Amino acid sequence: MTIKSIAIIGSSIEAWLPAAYIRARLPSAYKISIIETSKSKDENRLIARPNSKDMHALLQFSEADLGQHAQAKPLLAATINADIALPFGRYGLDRDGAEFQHLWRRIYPDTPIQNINLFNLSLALQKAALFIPQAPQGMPSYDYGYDLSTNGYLSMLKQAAKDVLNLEAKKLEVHHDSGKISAIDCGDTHIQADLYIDATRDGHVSNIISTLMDNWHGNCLSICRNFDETDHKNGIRLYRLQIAMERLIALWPDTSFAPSELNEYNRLANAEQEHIRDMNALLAHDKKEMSNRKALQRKIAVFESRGRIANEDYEIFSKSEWIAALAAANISPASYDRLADRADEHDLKQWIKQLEQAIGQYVHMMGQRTIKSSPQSHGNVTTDGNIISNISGLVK
Amino acid sequence: MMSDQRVQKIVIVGGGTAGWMSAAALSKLMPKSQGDIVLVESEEIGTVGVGEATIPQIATFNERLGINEDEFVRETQATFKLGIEFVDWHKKGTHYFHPFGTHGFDLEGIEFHHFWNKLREEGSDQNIEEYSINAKAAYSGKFIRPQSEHGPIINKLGYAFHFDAILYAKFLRKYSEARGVRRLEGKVKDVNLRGEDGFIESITLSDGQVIKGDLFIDCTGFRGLLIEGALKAGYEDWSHYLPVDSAVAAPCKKIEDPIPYTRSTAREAGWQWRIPLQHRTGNGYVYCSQYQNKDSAEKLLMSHLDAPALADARHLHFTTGRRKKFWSKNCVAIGLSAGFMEPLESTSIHLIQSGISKLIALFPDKSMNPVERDEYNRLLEVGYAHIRDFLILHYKLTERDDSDFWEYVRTMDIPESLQRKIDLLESRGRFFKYDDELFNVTSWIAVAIGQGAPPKGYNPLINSLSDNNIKQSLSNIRDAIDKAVLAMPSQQAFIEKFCKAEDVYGASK
Repeated sequence: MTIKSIAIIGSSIEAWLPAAYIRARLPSAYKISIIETSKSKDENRLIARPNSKDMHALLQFSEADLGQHAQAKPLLAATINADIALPFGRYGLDRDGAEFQHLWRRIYPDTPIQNINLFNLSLALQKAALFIPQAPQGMPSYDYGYDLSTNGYLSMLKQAAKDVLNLEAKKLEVHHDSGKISAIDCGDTHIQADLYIDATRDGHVSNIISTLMDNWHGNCLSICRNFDETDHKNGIRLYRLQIAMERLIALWPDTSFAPSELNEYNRLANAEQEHIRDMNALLAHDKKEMSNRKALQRKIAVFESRGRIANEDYEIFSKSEWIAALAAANISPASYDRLADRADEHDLKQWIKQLEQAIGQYVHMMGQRTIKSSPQSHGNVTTDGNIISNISGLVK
Repeated sequence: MMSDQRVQKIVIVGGGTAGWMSAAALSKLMPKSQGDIVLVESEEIGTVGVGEATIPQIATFNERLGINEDEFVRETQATFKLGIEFVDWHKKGTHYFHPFGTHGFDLEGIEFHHFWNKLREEGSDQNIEEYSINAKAAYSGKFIRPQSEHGPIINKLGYAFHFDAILYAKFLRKYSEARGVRRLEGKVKDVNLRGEDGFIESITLSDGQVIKGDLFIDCTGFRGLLIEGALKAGYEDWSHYLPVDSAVAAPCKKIEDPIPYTRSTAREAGWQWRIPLQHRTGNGYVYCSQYQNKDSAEKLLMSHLDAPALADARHLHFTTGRRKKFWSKNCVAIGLSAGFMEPLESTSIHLIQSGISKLIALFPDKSMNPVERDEYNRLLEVGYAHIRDFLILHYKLTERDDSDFWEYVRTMDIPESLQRKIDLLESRGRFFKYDDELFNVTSWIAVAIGQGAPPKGYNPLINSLSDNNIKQSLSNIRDAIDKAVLAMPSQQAFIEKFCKAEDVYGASK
């Protein structure tokens, strides 16, 4: 039988994003209820990774709306702490089939790995508090996400989630039978739904019907039980919700909740979670945790050998983000990819120097010509095409 | 100094498709000024060269080498391939098409086949192939190379090639030698290992010549002279899941303009391929020797040729599976020495390409750091397993029970990884591709539907669209495909205009 009603249990964007997303994808005949649990203290700001643009298009959130209602500032990198930022743009430029980190390592074999950050335009612009929507031709490309006001964004989600029955959870009593939720007593009323979305960070509802750590059991899908504090900083908090919704839509069930589909959801979600944990362990430089994580160990070993980034299935973080995180952990490649040997050494050295200068000059000139991406500017930045073309002319 | 550790001499043992593809690609990586690439082959040892059908990824390989596509087609007597027709696979008297490219267009962000399946459940008898430009063009004998100005329908056309593998090796030999690859004629007599670490130090040829190297590429075919003969890398046998173990091949004269697709016809103990080239038609029968003997297999093949054979039948025997270590010590196995899966989905040449590209991506220095070797082995293992599962799918879903062979494959147990995918497909046509997985949802859906196992349901989200809307959208797609195919030239006309090969065997008469 077709699912007709959905109950979401939780608070803040964890509860309202699914409501808005499902409302945008399903016809209004679907009944959506939100049982709002007590609001714990929330972060003021919310990081949206570049791929949030797809979701914002679905929700019909324009950049102007985000600027006006969620005080959105464009973001070229996710700042983890004073020493680490994960860039949304590439390191340098590829040449002769070799990625930039190999070319750079060939010329600078003994330079501290962190110096490669000089060749990341997104990091350089962000450090100078500048924003240009697109890299000029001939410069390292980048994408951008947003730094949002959590409350402002929440208001937008609430508005997008039209016709939602919003209930306050004066209590939360879960009635269940044979691994499925039959109703939730939230104090004033009993809510019965075909599908329950547990949007509590401790998996409060799903833990009642199953002791397994999988995200989807029976008619209850848990979407943020693996929350980690780092998720605030690298944009995973919002990313995780977006991907959970995309995956739910791709595997949209009926009331039979076919085990093959639930298992597939859980397999994909578990793989995603492992990638997030790998990155978080590396960012925290938690040596014990790092040593326990096989894929991370492999990633470190492959990078240490020749600066390559080993790809895993269903990667979340880009190569650049991994390079930044590995560099921040002071993990240096001992050598470089053979493809980097194809260029003449002198020529390559000159080319790298020119690139460094070009990035520096570009950032400097943009700083003089553009509006800084301050909280007040809301990211409404203009660029001067002539300046861009002059700078890009410096790069081979 | 790091540069001291650089691989400066690569020795490729064995010519053929794998050897010359490796030589060509590595000569781009390591120009003559930076090192030496030597390829040792013997004219006395024939190459297998039966892998004549490809998948679209081959275009990327040729493009990276800077090879002009029309020149490649001309030089290798190639034709274009839009997919594979499977005849009698579901049950006798049936056929279906596995297209390159997709079925229809996604609607409202939901994959096309869900909409098709909904209408099917409601009684529509439209074959999903009606929504594939590849299938429609293939059955009409049409081909055009998609260009951006051709619009969205023709740009859905995915294509690969059928070519003469011996000519392809010859073509790449010319390319490689022009870039400094040295070819040595000779047979390997001994493989000499270094005492301290068991690495291959050199090979000795039958004329006494000793060839030293830093890195050895084993392209010696099934026997794996270096990887197995010398380094004992081990072999994982998959014949339980893919029991065919023999092949008999024979080309025949072409009797008509080549069709732009491969045909695979299920026979009593295996299946027969038909690969149309410009100058001849390639044929072969892949079978399980447990259920059919050599003579009977040859007789069966010969009785199903379009025209008399142009050469004696060649017999091959193999064990389906893969090397336990594709890369061991300072030796990398590429091609048949790395493993073998029957050419049901034309993956042999792709596996060569995949091995080469991963070797280049993880290219070592003389120390042969285990990190790179292990990563290479891990990636290849995964890639082989994904392809294995897709091949098994064709057998497992058959309804044929008319011979012991088909009864076996229909009822055999299958890997858990495949069972999970079948369950998902059967339930509602869902499929989540791994990043490095070769075959996508179109391929899996085409085979599942063709083998008589269409999804039992569809994504319930499409219920939000009215049936009339869906019917109209599908009808529009069908019409647009029909019009596009009508406007396309025949494959023969396209070949005549852009890439006609030399006329041999009086092929054009």
